[in-house]
Amino acid sequence: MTANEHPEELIDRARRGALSPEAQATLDRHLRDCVVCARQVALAARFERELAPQPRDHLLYERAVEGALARMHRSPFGRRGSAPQRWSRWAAAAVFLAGVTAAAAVIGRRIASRATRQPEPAVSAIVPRAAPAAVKPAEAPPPERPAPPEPAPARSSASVRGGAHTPPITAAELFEKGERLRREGHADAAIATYRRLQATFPGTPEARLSFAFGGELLLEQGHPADALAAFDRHLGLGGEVGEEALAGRATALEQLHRTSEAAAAWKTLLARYPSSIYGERARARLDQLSGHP
Amino acid sequence: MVRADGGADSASKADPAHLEALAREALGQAPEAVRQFLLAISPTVGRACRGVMGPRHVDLEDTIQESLIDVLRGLSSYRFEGHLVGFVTKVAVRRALLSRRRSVARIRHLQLLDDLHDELPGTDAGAGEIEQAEVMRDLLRRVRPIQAETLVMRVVLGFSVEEIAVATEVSVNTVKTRLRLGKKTLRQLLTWQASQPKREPGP
Repeated sequence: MTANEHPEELIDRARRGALSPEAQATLDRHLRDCVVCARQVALAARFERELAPQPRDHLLYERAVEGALARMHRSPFGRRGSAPQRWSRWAAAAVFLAGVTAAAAVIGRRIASRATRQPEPAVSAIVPRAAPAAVKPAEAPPPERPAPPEPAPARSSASVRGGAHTPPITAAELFEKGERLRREGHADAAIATYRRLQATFPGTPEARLSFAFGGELLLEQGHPADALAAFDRHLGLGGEVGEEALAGRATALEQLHRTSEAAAAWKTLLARYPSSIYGERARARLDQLSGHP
Repeated sequence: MVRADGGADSASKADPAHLEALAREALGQAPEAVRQFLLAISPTVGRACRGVMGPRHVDLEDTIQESLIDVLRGLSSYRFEGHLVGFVTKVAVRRALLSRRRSVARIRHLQLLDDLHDELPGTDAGAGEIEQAEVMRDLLRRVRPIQAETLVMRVVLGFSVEEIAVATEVSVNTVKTRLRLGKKTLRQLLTWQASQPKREPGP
């Protein structure tokens, strides 16, 4: 047995205490060579303890269920017809809802905080048009390798203004600020923060993610062209939420009446993520779009 | 080992046929039926999310909510031919991995580690385990998503290969391949991580 042939069954039997001495010796030899299986065995009890039911779990779950029901109620996705079979018809009828996208619904659930939404900020940031995508997302390969190690938190060098030192800000802090603004319903301010993040810390994971989040917000704001550019940037950079970005991209293309490209985008989503949670919606949209070649 | 049926949680105690009946009723969208179904699956969802994100992650409750919504939305495509708890687990693991990738709460996470250490005075082995578990979670999010999903079910949740195959609706050989490739990547990441100066785990 080599380090690349992992004795999963032996590991399970060892956990049950059902290994013969010979099998135990075989497993021990593998564990000496395979750091992953060794870590798996070493941490099994830890994970088991962490996952054991806790006394206050029922409170957490009741809150989560009520929160989920409230979100479903607020979301247009949750206001569909009484029968699931109506979903595709609802989706067809919902095309005109500029702010309603699969990406918005999923990524945006994070934003739709349990607290009451606050009014829009008095100062509305001007959202510049995004630059065209450098890489066609349809050609963007799925990540074949693990993401490279993340750099140390980047700090803005532009922290000296008028001779006065201001505390430097990191990419993570800017991203969190954008997230907070989103949660609080300040979409324009959140978009502006993401733009600042992208300009100040290009190439960071936070900037990469912010393209997808910004795209979703731009869709909600009724700017499908800008949203499309943002999703393309995220996909072109091999972003982590490609599934959501592809769904958002397809929706943006539909809103731009670029029907054939939208259909291609939905197909790309299905091809790349066969078991996607957007699969049902993608297929429904393809059914609808097939009448509009 | 923690089993695919959810170990000791209440979802596993529920009769699978009863759970499926609740799911079918929930498909009808009646509010009380939906609520009962979500309550029934919430322990399974909670376990999966906790496994991926850690028991005290600041976004845990949010992710559980999102997972419940995902399950409800995916229910109409569920064929009622497999293992409903497995299906629910798969959806929740997927959502939790996504949430973890999105999370940027590194500082809060570091604080979390410090807090946990404070709770375990003198238990160096326990603290080491916590760190190792966090490192494992952190590295898992860097693996390709489909492999990460399989690895979480196997390494963190303790599913057998066969149980993963049922839950993810693929063959046993496919699961083995995903595990092999995922573990290969994970080994590279662990090697890389061991060569780095001590730093906090990512989100």
